[in-house]
Amino acid sequence: MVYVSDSKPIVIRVERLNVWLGRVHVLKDVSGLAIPRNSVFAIMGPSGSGKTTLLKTFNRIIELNRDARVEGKVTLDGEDIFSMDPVVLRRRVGMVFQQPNPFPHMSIYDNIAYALRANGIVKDKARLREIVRSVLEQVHLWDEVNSRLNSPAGKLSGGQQQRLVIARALALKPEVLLMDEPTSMVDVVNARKIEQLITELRRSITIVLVTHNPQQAMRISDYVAFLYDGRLIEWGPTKIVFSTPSNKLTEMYVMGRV
Amino acid sequence: MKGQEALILSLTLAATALVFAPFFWILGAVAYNGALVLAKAGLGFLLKRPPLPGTNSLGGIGTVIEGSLLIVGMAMAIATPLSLLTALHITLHEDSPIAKLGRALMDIMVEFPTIVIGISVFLIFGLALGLGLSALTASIALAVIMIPYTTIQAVEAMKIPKEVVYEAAVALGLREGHVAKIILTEGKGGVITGVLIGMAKIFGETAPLLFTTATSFDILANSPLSPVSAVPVLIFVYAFSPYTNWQEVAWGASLVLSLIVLGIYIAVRLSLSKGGLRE
Repeated sequence: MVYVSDSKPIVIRVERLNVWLGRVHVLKDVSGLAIPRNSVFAIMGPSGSGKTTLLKTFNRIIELNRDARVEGKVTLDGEDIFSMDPVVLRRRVGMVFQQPNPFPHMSIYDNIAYALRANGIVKDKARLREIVRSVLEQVHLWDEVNSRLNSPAGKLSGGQQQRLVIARALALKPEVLLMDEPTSMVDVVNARKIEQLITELRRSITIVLVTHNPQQAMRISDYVAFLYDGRLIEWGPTKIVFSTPSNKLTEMYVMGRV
Repeated sequence: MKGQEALILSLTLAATALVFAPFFWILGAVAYNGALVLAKAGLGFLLKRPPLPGTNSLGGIGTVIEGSLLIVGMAMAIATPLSLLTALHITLHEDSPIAKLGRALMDIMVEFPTIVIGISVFLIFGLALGLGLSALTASIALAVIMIPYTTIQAVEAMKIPKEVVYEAAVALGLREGHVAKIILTEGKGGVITGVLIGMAKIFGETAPLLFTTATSFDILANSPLSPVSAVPVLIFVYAFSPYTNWQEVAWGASLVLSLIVLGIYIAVRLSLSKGGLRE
């Protein structure tokens, strides 16, 4: 296993993490994983390796599955996430899903503004408008939608919807943004825009990105972890993992043989 | 083979025609006889008091329309929030034992004989709790009948929003109340349909009202505790009476009731075509 050697502070640490979904042992003793602040951290691995389960553990959304059982320790800025109020945790750790999932009947504007209002973060209308504009600009969507902010979000294209939900998550100013294969359901042009966006966002936020595509991990991540059959095989700076993997399985995976 | 296909087609067509026949026959009879009465009595039929028996007067059904509107309105006021909250619980906690029990109970209640609901509500609320033959007793009986219809429809309407946006809403750090509001808003077409279907169901409901409303039809209810009468009960009593003018009023009232229920179903179809349950 490769350990990060630079001095960036760690946002998320994982120790002895085991997750079961019903009787299936999905994550097996994942330990020693440390996600540095303001980086793009990719989790790669073949289908069924536990990538999404690991991601969903970081904001405890895995607990929505009544069959899920989680053991072990995950910390956010040193604080055990399992002793935090999950609602508060989810405001600090945002998430973007594989399938674009805006609230389709809600307007584009309200998709972003709703959580800010409901969570009591922003009450002032002018400030709300400012934030909506700023996050839509951040995801390069403002020019495409500024004339129809009141139309339902369900009318946007798939790629635009995915950028809208990224904007929705960013509006809450999370410390960490979890992204579960965010480009797999969108067209090539939008996928490129989202990848570009991810590399821009790393300046202000930590991104944990699940991908089944090693090339994508190589292109946009600073660090990468390789999961196989629920086990953490190795992780470290992307360049090192891809150029000199310490494990034979990782080598085979990046070469497309697993 | 061609002969066999033709035979199957004729059988299915004949069965379909047979199913249509009573519908059109009933509708035709109600429309024809009812229209004659309405033509004779004029629009005042909707407002005037019922006539004295054995006279030439048709009067009207104003008092029972008022009674029906009052008890259906009160039943909806009771049943709608209860149904929607129950549906939300069943939707948001579908794997919990209480939600599973709730869903099973709704499925049973929807098939429950309404006459049994009527007599039970009369015994509990009318007699034991002393509400008597009041608008409140009647509306409670109708609410009990409406709740499973509306709840089941609302659960179905919220199924897809639950699948599509529930995780997203939770991931935004929203509390359950706000998550519920999003699910309800996203499924609102189907939820409104559910309320309308429940309303149509109780508007024409007769059996429970036989136990909970008065059979004197010249009453204008002015409070929830006043005695009340309703259109379906008037039809039942007047149709079986020996007086020609009352029988005519029963036809007219049947047409009015059919048009109201038909109107509600048209509203349901419209809300379905605008999204509703198909979303």
